[in-house]
Amino acid sequence: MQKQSLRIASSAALLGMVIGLAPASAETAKLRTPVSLLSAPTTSASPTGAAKAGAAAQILDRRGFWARVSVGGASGWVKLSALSLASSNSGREIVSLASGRSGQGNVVSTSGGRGLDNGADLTKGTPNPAAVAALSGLAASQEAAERYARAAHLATRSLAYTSAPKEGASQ
Amino acid sequence: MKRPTLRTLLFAAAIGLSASAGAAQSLPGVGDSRSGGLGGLLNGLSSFTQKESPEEEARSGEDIAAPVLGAAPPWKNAAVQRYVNLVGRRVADQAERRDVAWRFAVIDSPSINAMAFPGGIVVVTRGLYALLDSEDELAAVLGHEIAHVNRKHQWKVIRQQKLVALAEGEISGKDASKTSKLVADLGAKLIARGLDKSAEFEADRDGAVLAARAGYDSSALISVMQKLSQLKADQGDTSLLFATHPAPAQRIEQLVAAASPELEAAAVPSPAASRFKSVR
Repeated sequence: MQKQSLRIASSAALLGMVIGLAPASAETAKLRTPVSLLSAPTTSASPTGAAKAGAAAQILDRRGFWARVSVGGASGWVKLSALSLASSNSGREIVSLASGRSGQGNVVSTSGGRGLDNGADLTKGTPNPAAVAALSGLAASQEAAERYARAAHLATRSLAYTSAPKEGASQ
Repeated sequence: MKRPTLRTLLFAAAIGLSASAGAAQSLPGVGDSRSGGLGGLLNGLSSFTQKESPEEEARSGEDIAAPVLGAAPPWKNAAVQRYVNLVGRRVADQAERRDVAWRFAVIDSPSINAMAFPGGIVVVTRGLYALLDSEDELAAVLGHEIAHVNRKHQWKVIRQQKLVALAEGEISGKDASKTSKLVADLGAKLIARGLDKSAEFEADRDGAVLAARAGYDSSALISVMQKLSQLKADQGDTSLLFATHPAPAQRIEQLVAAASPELEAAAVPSPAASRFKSVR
């Protein structure tokens, strides 16, 4: 049962990836700032239109850090960071249901006894130190991991960590 | 009455204010604390000055992981276990820490979650693994967990609480099995309660960078978050995940708001993306 519904979820999500952000009903978001709608997901693309801050945008597709949106009859690509998603997303409702709170505080927390079922039971097993010890036998060496990466032509990149966005940047 | 005060003081010390035992001796009311006297307190405080060791961290992580693997053992699928270890190790080798023994596993639980334990054990549930579609997404999930270990997010919380227990005489430091039990209990509580939101957002940012350093799509975590946000309540058990992590949409927002131009440029499917489907 569980597995089957997961498979359904998984293929629904996969379908979503192919046809756009949301499989059934297109997701909506609000524009944080005035934007130019672009013909391609890159800053050098030509504009196809413009939209005002606060306008409701329908998300049609996503590529990397860009989304293709439809706003008031026009459509084009905008940076994902120009969109306010949280208010239009089911994740938040799921969170409040699961935790019994609306998620305003700094610590994401539950009261400990409520809304937790077999997920939380994960910590309640009889300790199995043998299974823990056996994990070392599965571990891959650095060399093996490198070989495996090279086999798929994965190339490393030099990238710095990013810092937390400024307070209010995504409110 | 005294316990909260003591706790507060010890927490302040644990955060790194380097309280010396000498200074602590002058604290009022110390002698009759529940800890069984000054000895216990000094014993605890002296451990603040002891440097934490990777061995202590690894042992604690194993103590915390033991009941989790008791509830959900590694999935009996050698090819998948080998695969997550190869991908996980590749991503982990982009992190700064070199004192960690990285071990990865898909555990046989239908709930949708992933967890990191101090010392480098990372588990992904079968439920979450089934939601993934590419090696890039797997690397993104593992990258988030690796980032927790790399920043010692869980370990800092656990060690602080362990030191308080030492200071209060709950454990002596000599009874290893009692210490293991206490650490496992602290770990279980932390798993149920979750880390601070800011630690989760940091792990998202770092994880995306680590995966991209390894050659993977820097935006793959966004795909995973989209899937999580689109799950309906009856499509797998996400209760613990959503109780302990910010909402997926909020995580996407924080991640994209922080992304550097270099990270954005790395948002392309990797040549390894499709390998995921060939591992069964």
